Amino acid sequence: MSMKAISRRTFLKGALASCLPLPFPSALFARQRTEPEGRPRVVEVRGPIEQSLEILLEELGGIAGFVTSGDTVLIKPNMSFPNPPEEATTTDPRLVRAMIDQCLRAGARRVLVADHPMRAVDLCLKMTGMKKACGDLPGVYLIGASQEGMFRRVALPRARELRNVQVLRAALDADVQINLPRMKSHGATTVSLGMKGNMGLIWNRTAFHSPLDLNEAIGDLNTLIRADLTILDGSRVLTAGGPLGPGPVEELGCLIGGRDPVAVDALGVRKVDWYGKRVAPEQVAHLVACHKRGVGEIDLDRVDFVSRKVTAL
Amino acid sequence: MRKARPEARPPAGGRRKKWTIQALCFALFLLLFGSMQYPWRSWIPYRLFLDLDPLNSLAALSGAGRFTLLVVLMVVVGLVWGRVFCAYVCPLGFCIDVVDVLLGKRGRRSARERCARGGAAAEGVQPEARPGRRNDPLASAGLQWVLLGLVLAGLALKNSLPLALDPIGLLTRSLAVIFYPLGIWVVNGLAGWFRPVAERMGWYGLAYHAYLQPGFQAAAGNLVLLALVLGVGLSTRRFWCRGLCPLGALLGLLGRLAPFRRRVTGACTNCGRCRDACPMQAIDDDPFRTRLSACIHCKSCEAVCPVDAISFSPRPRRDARYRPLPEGLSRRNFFFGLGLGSMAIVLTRLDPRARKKTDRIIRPPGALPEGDFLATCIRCGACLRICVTHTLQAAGMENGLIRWGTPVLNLRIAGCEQHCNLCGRICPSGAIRDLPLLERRYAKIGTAVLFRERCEAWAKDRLCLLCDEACPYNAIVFQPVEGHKRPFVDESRCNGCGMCEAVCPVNGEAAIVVYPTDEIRLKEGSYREILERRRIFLKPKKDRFELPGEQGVQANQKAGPP
Repeated sequence: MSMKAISRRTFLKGALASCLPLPFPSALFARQRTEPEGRPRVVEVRGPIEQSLEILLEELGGIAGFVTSGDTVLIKPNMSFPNPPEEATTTDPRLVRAMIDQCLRAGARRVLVADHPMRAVDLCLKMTGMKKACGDLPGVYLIGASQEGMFRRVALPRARELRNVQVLRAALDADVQINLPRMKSHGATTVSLGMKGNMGLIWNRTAFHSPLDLNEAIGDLNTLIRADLTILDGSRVLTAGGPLGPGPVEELGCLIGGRDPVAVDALGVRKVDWYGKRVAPEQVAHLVACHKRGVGEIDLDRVDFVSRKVTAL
Repeated sequence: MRKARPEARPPAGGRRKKWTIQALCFALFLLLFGSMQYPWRSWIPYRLFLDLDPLNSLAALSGAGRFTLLVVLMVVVGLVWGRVFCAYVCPLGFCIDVVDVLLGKRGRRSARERCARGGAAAEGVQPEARPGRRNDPLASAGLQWVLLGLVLAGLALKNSLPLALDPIGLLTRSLAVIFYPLGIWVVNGLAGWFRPVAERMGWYGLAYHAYLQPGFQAAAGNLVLLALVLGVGLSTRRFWCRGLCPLGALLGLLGRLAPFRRRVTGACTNCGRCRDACPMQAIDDDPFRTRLSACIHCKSCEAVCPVDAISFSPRPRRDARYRPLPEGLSRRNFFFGLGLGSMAIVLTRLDPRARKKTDRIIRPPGALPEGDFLATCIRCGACLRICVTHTLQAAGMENGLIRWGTPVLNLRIAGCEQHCNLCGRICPSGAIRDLPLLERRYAKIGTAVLFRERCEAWAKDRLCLLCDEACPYNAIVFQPVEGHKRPFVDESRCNGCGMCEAVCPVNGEAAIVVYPTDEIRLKEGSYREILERRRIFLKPKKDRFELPGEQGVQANQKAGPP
């Protein structure tokens, strides 16, 4: 077979041309979002985690409404710290495992469980119990991001302060995104729920604290990253001393979930007393920032609220 | 009458066996080095080679009172087979052999000498065996005895700095600070290139796998040292092992008693091949004479002997003889080394950078009190390798030569992980105590000091609070001051782990810095008890979570930085 020699000029032209889309990645990877119709629905279920999740998904129309056959699903738990789930700083691995099982049953092609841990990655994955909970399932990948190359820079057209941000590639490419944050307090933002939890999908978190304003930056980030389903792990709640603890843990024993991430967070804020005080969702600056940017509904009067309890068989 | 010089046998069998064993031992060494990582697996003998090393054991015994049985095996082997370790097991020896081959240093005679000898043979004159002639000027100079004296002087004066020259430690440290970071850089780079492909193929496990990039200080110094150790091979083969290695010198001392030694029968034709083949130059012009402290039992001589006159058996064939060759071991050399070493160590102690007051270094949790630490730490770098956050760095000369190569924390790179005690687990000398995880939490390594004028929250009213987010001990308290949330350090809860310093977004020196103030260094006993006596609460009580009133914290806070 004869091969046509490529001249240096042709090669360089081709190489340059292939680099052209690099500054505009969002143009290449724009995603379709399905907005919830009508009033957002938020479901609260009390009881053991696995059954609670079952009922919660049922109330939201079943897992099939989120995951269809052949999908790549990204599950974003909080596994940022090497603490056991009893300390209520990371998501309970049982919830993650139950969610994975649901996704696989719904026909997901692969499930990526990903976070950008703040501490030593191996340690975090092991001590949070995630490795044990989902390490051995086929088609399930546990990702503790640790390299800048695992993130892709994306422009934020609807943002106010944040021009662009480096987001985990897996999160950008996934068909379905499920956010499973732990309900906990946070020294800077009062609470760390779904909206704050999405900071686990970006590379440079330091910039959010300085030079940007943290609350506004979280608002901007959530105009880009919007989970299809958010479920707060309220089996235990760290009501003070967060996000890393140690702190007082309240055994709330419930899951709170829905499609509208702001509404879910707003209900989460109302569920417990943070730092010994009653806090209204409107007092949480980053939730207000998200609401202002049209991410979701903060006013709980405009939300359909369903409360269920797991009944003993 | 001189017998005719017969054809040499091809150096097969024995030589190949030696290379194979050497390569296997080196591979095992690399494997063990590679496996030094989280999580700890108790069935892996991570420290095998370091535990074998009698010099390291001396340091461990004198400094931390630790004794391992492996070293007994080593001494017994030394007493029976002499320096067999150097030929077959020593990983640095293997590296030196490989480099020697690459450098092409196979022979050792100068061309002129060869000609002279060839000429003499042509005339049919047997060269006179000159008794006591020092045919290896290097070994005869006895520098290795000086270095051994240096090491022993160091141990006696409670400083293990000369042990930085121990071959096992030197190689482990060089791997840890030079080749391991380089390797990770290459692997991560390749993985980065491959990531888009892996993602497309759906190999997510591969696409999102990466290693934490270590970046080690003092790599340059180590590189120079290693280059010297290997580069002296340009002169003659096994230059380091013959003339400098302190461990080789120690094993050579044992080798003088070994029953297994090179013996030559009368069949010897004095062809000189064994002399040329010996990498250690342990054979005299008189082929019956062997320098026992240099012979490493590699049996190169046995392999090349055309008449099979050489054997290493303790029960020799009839008329097989051993004759000694002077060892270059003189009392003068040894005491010269002792004296030189003592002087050097006293001088490094007098270095103002080595004084307590100037020293701002943070040691890993469980490190012995500084004096004992310096006496015990063999600078092997195993802790640097295994550190999960790679906050541990080899000290350069900033804190004096006396601390060169010891582990210090660079908390600006990363904090010290609360749930990790691997540095203490791996430490072969006991310079870092092997603490249980709970006890390790109480091993306070320093105290954080906040500099308000640099702090984003204090100076610029920003909602930064990264230090609070990172602190695993809840030692940072946020209080509204003038309408803004501002951080305070609660020193009674600070462990000194430096997570705050690592995440501080200020460029250059952080706005919150850990100083070794109030560090707890215990040779024995419980850190927990000490802390409880000092009323320091690293495990906070529940009632302390209520944010104290502003005045309460102000009173608790010392007035600004020193």
